[in-house]
Amino acid sequence: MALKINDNGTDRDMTAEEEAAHLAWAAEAQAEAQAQAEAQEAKQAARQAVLDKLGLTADEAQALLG
Amino acid sequence: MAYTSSQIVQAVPTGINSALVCVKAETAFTAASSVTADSVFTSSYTNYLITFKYQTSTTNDVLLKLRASGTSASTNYSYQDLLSNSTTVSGGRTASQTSFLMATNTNGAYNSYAQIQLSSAQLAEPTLILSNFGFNAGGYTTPYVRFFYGNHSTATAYDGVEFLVASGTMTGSYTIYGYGKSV
Repeated sequence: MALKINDNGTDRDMTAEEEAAHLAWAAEAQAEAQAQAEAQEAKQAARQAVLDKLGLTADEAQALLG
Repeated sequence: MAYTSSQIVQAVPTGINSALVCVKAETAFTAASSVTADSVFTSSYTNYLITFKYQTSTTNDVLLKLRASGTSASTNYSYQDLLSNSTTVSGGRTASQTSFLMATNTNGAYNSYAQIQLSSAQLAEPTLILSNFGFNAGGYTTPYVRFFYGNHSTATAYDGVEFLVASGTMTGSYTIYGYGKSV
């Protein structure tokens, strides 16, 4: 089933060329989103590791920092 | 004597300019992967407002690309993000992307609303992009607030814009306005 585009106000099926371009971009965009999510997870894991070392909860650390 | 709204508009003398002028009438889209609006940015305005009501079918966010002569630009988008989720506020910065993240997914039929502002889109210089929005993620009892500021750093003049999702579809409507730049 073809992907749909609203082309300047008109809903229609994408042409084969438009669909290929969209899918190529979508693969890149999803890779970007995945990289972003992984970076965020790594950051949170590093933060948690420090809290664990200090024996503090996130709320306690926040209270300390004001 | 009673006047109709059109008669009142006709009575405004020339020389009085509107502050906000609709350059693209409210346009609805249904189950679309991509939405394009071409020939909307001109030298008449430097700054534009886009109102965007939307819902997405999956967990894929709505992204934005600038367009010139019907071709979308797919490099050089960078942005800073601020998200409020219940009592937690978080942020992040993302650089050199293939598109600008302008509205978070709703993961189902939960209408959400974004206001996007573009500055200098039609000038041959970087375009500045602001997106303020609230979204209902998977239900109306979990509203979020999010704000993005960023840019498309390519120094090219653009005349249009594309909204798109990487997977699934989006349904909603948008309107584009130009901010008046003379008194």
